[in-house]
Amino acid sequence: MNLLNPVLTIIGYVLVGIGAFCQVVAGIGMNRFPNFFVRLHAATICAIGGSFVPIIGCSLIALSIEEFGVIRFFLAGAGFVTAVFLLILAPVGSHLLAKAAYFSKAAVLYPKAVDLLEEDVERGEIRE
Amino acid sequence: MSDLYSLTPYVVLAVSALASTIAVYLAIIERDLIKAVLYSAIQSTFYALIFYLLMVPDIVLVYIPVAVGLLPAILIIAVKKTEKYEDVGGVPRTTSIIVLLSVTVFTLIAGYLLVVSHAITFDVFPSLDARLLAKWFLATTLWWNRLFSSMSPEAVTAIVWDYRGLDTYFETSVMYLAIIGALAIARYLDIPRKEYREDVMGMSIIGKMSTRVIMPMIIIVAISIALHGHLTPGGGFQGGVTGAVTVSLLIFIFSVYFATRFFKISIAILLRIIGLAGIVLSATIVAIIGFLIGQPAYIFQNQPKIIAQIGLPYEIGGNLISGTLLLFNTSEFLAVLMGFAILFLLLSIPEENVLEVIKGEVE
Repeated sequence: MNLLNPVLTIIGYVLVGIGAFCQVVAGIGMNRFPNFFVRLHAATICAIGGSFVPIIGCSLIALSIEEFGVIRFFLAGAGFVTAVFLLILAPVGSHLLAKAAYFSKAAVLYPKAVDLLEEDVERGEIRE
Repeated sequence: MSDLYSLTPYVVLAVSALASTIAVYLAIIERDLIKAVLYSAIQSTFYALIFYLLMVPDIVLVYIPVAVGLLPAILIIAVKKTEKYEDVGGVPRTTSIIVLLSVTVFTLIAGYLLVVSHAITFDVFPSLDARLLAKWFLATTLWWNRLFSSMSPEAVTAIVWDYRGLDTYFETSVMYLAIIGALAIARYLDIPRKEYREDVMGMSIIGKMSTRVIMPMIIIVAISIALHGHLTPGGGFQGGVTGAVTVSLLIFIFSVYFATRFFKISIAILLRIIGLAGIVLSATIVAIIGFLIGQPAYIFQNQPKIIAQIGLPYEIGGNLISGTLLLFNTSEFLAVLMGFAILFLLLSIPEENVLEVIKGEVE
């Protein structure tokens, strides 16, 4: 276990660093992207890359600190559970947001390259 | 000279009380509604001054923006959209005299009570050394002596319930009054009966499936927050609000017709009344026990005090329950959860039904 601790620490710090990078990228995307749906993509980067990954990293760091005793397993377990729920629920949230915004026509789809959903609706395969 | 200086707050208090009384009278008899709103704002200003003098700065911080700024603004907008003058020919002279008399009597009684409290404590205004009080609270909260502590390791809950119980009680009742107001406005409305159909109503299957997975966990977390209110930060109100998330998820993800399978408004009102009765019981149970066995006890008492030697047990079989705190948290959880459930259900009544009822009332 002692040998594994430095490895866990390094992996944890790397994951936290990836999270910080993703947060910055998501912030830039939020400011620069043209419409709602692409900005939602930036928000998803923030939720998964910027929250899920660093929480896993924090759990690994907590596991590697032996001074905490048994408490470190509680910390790491809570972190892993939170991360898994975030991984499941953040995409669901952005999916529902995008669907509601698309069908209620609340968001303007202006710079549009391709809209497969519109073609499906026209062909009658998907109900609004 | 120094006597005169120490009299200043009393004089300011008396003048403010008198001026706010006059402003209330003017606001009631004024026929021009805009002027009436301004008079009521003047009255609120004097009340804010009184609150400041009585050393409740937290109330002042809320009172000034809401009662002096927000409320008159909303009222003025409402008056501009409707009619500027009262159409009932003003208030009759006898009514206005009765109003003036009752307000004066109320002010005199309040002033008498202040003077009486002065005779008891030799000071109307609380001690300026508020930090001493805070130090005393914090020192006795975690000092495991039943005569001084409330036997709860969570300092905020212990202080809020055991030292500021009345404050908590009135804060709680403000929210319940708001819900009663919503129920009174929507008394003729009811959620229309319609069969819930899985394939047509609600959002996509992804949302429904993940909501089904997450919902039991939200309820478990809410109950755990409420029942651990005397051990960890949180409590009945926070747990109830967390639990109310499930109701809003049911309404938004599935449908209000699906939500009414689990939450009927009448049953929610019944459960909320049970919760309110539990709150009242937890506030008065020690006083009731003291009355029955003939010993001195206080309302909002939890653990025994030096002059009132009865109190609820702080543990059952080695599990800490902190006397009335567990009962209070459980009842508050039930009442808040059901209150928010009622609000969400009322807010989700379709607009056509509301319009139908309103038109029926008008015609």
